[in-house]
Amino acid sequence: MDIKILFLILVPLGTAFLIPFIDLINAKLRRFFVLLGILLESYLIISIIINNFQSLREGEFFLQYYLGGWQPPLGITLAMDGLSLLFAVITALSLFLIVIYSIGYIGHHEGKYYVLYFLITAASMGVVLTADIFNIYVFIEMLTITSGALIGFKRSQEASAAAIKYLIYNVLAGLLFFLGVLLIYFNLGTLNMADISQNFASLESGIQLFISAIFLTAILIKMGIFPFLFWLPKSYDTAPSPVTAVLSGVLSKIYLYIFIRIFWTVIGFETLVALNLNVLLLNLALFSSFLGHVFALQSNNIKRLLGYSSIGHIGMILAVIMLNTDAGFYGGLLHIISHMFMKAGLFVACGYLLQYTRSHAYRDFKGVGLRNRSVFIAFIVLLLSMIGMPPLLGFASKWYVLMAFLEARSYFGAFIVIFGSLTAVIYYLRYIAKGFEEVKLTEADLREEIYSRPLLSVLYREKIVSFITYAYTAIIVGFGLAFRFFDLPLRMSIDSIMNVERYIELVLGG
Amino acid sequence: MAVIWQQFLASFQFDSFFPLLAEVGVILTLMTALAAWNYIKENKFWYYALTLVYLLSTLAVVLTNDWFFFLFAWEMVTLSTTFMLAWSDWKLVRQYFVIQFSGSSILLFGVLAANAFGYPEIGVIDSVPLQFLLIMGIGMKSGLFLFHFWLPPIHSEAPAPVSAILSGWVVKLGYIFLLKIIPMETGNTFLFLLGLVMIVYAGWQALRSADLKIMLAYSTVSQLGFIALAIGTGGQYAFYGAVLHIIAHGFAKTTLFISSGIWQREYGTRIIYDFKDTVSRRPITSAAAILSFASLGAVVFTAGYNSKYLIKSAQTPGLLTAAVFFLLGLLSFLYAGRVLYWLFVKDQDYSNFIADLKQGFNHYQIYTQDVLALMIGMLGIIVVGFWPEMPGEILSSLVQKDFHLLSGLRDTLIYLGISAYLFYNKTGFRVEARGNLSLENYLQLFLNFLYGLSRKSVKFDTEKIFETFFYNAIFNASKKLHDFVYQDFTIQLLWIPIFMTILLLWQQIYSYF
Repeated sequence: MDIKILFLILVPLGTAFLIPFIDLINAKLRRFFVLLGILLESYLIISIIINNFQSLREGEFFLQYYLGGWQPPLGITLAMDGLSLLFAVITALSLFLIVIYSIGYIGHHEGKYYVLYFLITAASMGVVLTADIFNIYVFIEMLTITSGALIGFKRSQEASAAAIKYLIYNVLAGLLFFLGVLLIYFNLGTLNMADISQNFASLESGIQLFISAIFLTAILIKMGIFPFLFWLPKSYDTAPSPVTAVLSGVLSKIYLYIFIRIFWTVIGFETLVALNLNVLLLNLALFSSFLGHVFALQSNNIKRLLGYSSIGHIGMILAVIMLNTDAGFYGGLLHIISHMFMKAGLFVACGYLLQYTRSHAYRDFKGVGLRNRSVFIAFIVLLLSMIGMPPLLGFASKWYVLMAFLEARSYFGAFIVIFGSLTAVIYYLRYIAKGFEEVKLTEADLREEIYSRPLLSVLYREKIVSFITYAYTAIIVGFGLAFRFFDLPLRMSIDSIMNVERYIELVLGG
Repeated sequence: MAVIWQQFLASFQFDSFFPLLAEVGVILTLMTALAAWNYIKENKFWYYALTLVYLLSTLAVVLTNDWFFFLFAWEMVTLSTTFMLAWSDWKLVRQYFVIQFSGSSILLFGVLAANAFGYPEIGVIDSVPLQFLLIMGIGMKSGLFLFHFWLPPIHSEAPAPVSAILSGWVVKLGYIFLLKIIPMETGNTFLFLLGLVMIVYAGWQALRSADLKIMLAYSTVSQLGFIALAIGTGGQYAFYGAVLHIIAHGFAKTTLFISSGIWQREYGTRIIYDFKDTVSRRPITSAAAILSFASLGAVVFTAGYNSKYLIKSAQTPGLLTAAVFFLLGLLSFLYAGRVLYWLFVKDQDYSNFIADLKQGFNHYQIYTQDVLALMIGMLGIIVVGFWPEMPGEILSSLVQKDFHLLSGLRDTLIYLGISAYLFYNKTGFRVEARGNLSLENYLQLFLNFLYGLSRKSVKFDTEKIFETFFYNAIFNASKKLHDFVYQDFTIQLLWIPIFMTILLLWQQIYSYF
């Protein structure tokens, strides 16, 4: 029983509910309050790590909390093992950086924005911590609704269209997920993940197949794997930059966490192997990755391009996880971490670079690098990390992914990793070259600039925004040199993924 | 010379299905010869001389056991049919010649490989790569999927009796060859999948063509798909089904092409919407066409039903198989029934007396030879429909086989209901006639595609190093893929049920490979 993990969810939830009341008192107080909330969250995580450092070292880390004091098979349990801790730490760090960025970036309707933002924070913490499958569904719906609202935050026509498309897809996925939860409850009479995991093998193979298929479809829709990748680039393009950073950096990783939790802890990978679905999924994810990189080649819009490249990277991560080997998980989790910081950093930098341009289009990218030279250099460093240049974090993670594919003799996967890097060189270099191009303003350009459209946004506090971009770059460079730092947390989380019996024993046995 | 002649005679084998198939080939050639008696006006002697060469060499192809004589005879078949096309257009002769001989070169390569790997005679080949090579080799000649592109233009432009020869028997020779080399126990998965694709793709194309002869050519490809699928399945009844389908489709398609020639003379057009009042103006031709289309659509008591039933019964039993074969049958029934729908529609303008009178006269006086040819075709369909075991020992086990005529009748009635509903609501799938369907156009399209990849389709601001030829090619290729995948929103959402269905049926799909 450790009440701190309950507070990990309650603090952002409470912040979200208190923000409107703070607004009533004094609107300027709001951003200090927001900072207070996120700092409290960080304090909680740091104190959890420090208090349990000894058990972390020995690999026996496990915390749980029974809501209302009900014991596991009945009540809702919150549980934190190695994997949850890793995801909680990186999610909180990402969200911490992005909220500071938002203080500088969001100039209007701040109150609503922060309420939705903290609901996302609470829901993603909840997904990571909960040990109850219905609770996961609730938090997923919370994520969907709040992120849908944030995608339409600009209130332009494209933004609304993208938000509606996003909502249609994700509500359908949520519905499928709910159906899966219902089926599990009717067949097993329990919602506790450990309990389900213990009894899942006793189900008939037809019902097992149906439940797995439903969960797979739902989570693949959420992640944007091949047959369902259509909502992704559009919503990444139209959302404000910090929201895109959250969507790409945090939400897609949260869904990967759900995938791992459900298909390793709850349903069990042996079930997938018995149904022959693992081969299908591996190849589907690799094909999706291939398509993402190919689509990125033809994109004339920088944010959409980053979205397509996200499809490519998430497909690759899913594929390397589907190998179900230690090396695969090592590479996959490391790439989750590195992609989380690289992609969020890129979107954050985009928000700064595109502040004076008319649109996100390729032709408007001209001269961006000359105007904001230092931020553009940070942007280039992040792009190089995406490609996989040696001293950066992207190289380390891609290296481990490649090694995992080669070790499992999955040559298609190895090909996709290298193909992704090569195509990334082609499509990023084009934008870098464009960014360093001189702008010669003509009469027609000026007229168009004045009459066609107002500027998208003028940054509220420019210093903060550029500072966060540098912070992301520093993380990428620093951890690129010291990626061995992740060795302990990665080993710990792989241990908790592979050792399902221990999880069941700890949750059910108390 | 005498040694070669002795070898030639010794290489004939008179066992298995092949004598039966040879007899059917002779009958079909007789039918086309009868129909050609009035169709071919000039140089009649040379036409019949070519027919004789064709007849002898096709017998050799079906019956011989020796690689060399097989190749030689098949080249003779190709040559004689090539020159028959000259009665329509010398351009066709050139195109057909080039295509057939490029196909022959692959076949020659395959045959040399088979000879080198220890198969001195034509017989069952166990090695899968060799089977693959030989399938590719006959692909161009027998119109396998992706190699079938030449078939609709050439078969539709040829003179009617020559179309009947080409569509009815020449394209079948490849499948008869496959009957010899594919092992009956295992079949060939690649051929099976190819057949499935052919049935669906060509059936769809047949459904959306307005020209009778093009439609018949596409339906040939679709029915060849059934034969390929049967041979690819493997098993005794699948092979019997393939043999029966070769015979049934031979009779039906020969009859149909002969009657298409008669209608073309009668109405002066090949568009099916113009065949008005056909049933009263050309009763015998219409009766033959109705029977042949019934055989194509697998109506009970026709030859086509028996063969398709045998093919279906050879598959792994299960719900998926039943559903797939039901839909494949429906596709055949739809494109066959569509022509009949248009034959029976009499939307003539009777307001003008003169026009009425003009319509009333027959433009073409039918000859005894034509009637005789049609009669033979009808007789063939009916005989094979009621007597599937046919003379000879080889198919005699079909006497005990239960053909489930009642369920066939039920399926036919369901097909009839569905197709009547669709024709009534979609006005018989009325589509525009295609423009000039010729191989030159195909070549031009292909070249345009090739050039188009390197051309700028999207306008850029500046000329930079990444936007030269190389980048444009990458950019446009990925743009094409992107536009192909990104359909509109309803189709995007349709992926969800499709994906779930694939997941649920994955076990069955997995087990097929």
